[in-house]
Amino acid sequence: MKSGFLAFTKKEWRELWRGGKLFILLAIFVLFGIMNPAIAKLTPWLMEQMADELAGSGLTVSAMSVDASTSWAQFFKNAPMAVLLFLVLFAGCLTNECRRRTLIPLLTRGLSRHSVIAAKAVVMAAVWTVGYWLCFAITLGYNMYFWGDGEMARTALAATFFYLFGLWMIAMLLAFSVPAKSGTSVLAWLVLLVAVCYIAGMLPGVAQWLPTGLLSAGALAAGQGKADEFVRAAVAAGITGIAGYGAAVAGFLRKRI
Amino acid sequence: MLELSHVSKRFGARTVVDDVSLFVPDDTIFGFVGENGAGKTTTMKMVLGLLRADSGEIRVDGTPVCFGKSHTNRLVGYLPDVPEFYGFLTPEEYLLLCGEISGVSNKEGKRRAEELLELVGLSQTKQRIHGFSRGMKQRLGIAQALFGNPRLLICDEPTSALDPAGRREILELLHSLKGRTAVLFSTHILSDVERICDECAMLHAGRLIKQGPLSEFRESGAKGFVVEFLGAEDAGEFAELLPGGIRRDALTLEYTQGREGMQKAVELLAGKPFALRRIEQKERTLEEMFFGLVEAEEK
Amino acid sequence: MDNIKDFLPFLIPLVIVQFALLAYTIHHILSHDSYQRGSRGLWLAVAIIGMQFWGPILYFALGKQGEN
Repeated sequence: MKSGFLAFTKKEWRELWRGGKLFILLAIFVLFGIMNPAIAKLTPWLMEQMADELAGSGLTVSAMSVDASTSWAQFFKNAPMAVLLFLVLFAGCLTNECRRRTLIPLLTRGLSRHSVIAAKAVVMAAVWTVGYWLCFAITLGYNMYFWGDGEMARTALAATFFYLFGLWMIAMLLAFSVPAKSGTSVLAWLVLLVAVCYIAGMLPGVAQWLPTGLLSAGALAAGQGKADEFVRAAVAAGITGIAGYGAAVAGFLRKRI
Repeated sequence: MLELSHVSKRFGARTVVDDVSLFVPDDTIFGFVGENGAGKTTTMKMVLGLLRADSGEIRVDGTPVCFGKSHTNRLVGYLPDVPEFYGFLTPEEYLLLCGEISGVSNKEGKRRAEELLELVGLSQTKQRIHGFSRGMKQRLGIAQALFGNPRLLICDEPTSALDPAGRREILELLHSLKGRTAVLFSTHILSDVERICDECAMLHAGRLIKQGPLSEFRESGAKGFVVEFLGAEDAGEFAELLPGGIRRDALTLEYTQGREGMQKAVELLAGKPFALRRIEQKERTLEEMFFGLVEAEEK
Repeated sequence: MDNIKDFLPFLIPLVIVQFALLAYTIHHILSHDSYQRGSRGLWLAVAIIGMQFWGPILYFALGKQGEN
């Protein structure tokens, strides 16, 4: 079990590296990290340009002050896009292997099916962890340089909540990968899941228990909302995430390959 | 080595494998013959624990096979019909991955990888697998299947996707494994079986219609004998001596009698100075026999 | 934009990463002869014209040849 898991994890890394996906993902996380403060820095200038135009129509725009919180607002606004890109690149990671039947020689040689799921989960989680916090660190570096550290503790907590959302999505991706035929349908199911959660969130009382609540962690960083509401969403994400992983393993053990 | 007793498998209402009992002895090359869709692949997948048998029992070296578990697979090597590997690895890296999964030490894994690549003729190949031809993949598949020193090698239609040259290569390779491991290979090409197998089983519509050593098939397939002379007069004279023969051409006589008939012919031939080209047992090909059996089964 | 100096800390790494991404993608496209779908010309166009990272992402998600 252990040797199989390690060997398969090594294979996953090689695949990511040689297939170019690792490089692309890291580059994108770096890009996002730089863009967040850049957009914040650009905002007053953009406003000024607009103000000239708007002045003609009678509107006046008051001068804007930009600080670390503007940049963090960008961070939380762009983070869902980073999650989406991450999921797009990983959506087919299990379905492709099943479709192309590359797992058969390895499974018949004694690789346990649990190892396959575990290795994929570990590698995805590792890439997400490194990429996401790299992006965070870059934005943080720029913010410190331009504006000082702002509300560091609150921001870090909010960023952690969003990080958990990414992990939750990974668990769901694996769970959907077992019954799905292709990466595209895995992606479609994930989008549907988020949409359903969004609609369910309109019901009073349900909203704070939905894992998708973590998506609005930006509000926490901006000083709105209470941390314990996010704790509930995080607990829900933790429970459903572990259940999703368990379902993926159990389903994969029964799957006809 | 491998024993199936009363194994059945249904997909929905369709019975794909129906009460199959089979025994593959140690160190034999065992041909598993049947048309496409006869249930060969399904049977093999049940042996590998990739599919659950609805009833019956499968034992590999005395240990029962369980669906989804892989402990018996340590004794078995498997070559899928169209083997697919990770294209981003080189063949050596792929075999090392196999080694790591089977839990052998790095040094041992490297040694075995080298030896097997040599055996299948890929030791000079440094390119990654995505540029491989079908035949090369098939050869890597055999190396991969042999990696764990299996006592039983299962090959699913190893030759059907290949051109004649590639087919010959693979058959020779399989033949060279005799003594090293038992081989069970499925095919719909009967001449492949005639070329390399010791034993053979025929499957039709999920049922086993015949099983046994190839020599037995040959004997039961015998149907008379042929005598060919060098001169037409000799042939005419002999036809009178031993009536019942069919004159196929001026020089050749065909008889449908069995063993005794042939013995009598030899006695008669010895009595006179006939100029003889050949006298031989006439055999039905495996193919004729297969279709005969299928016909009988369907009646 | 009165103070371009303010933007240099962004521009320089941004340009470097963008070009690295583009160069890596183009290298990958050119070093492969066949793609899962589409042709070399199409993917080069997508990678170059594709806004920021979308071109490379599309290529690596959809166009890159499977491992066979």
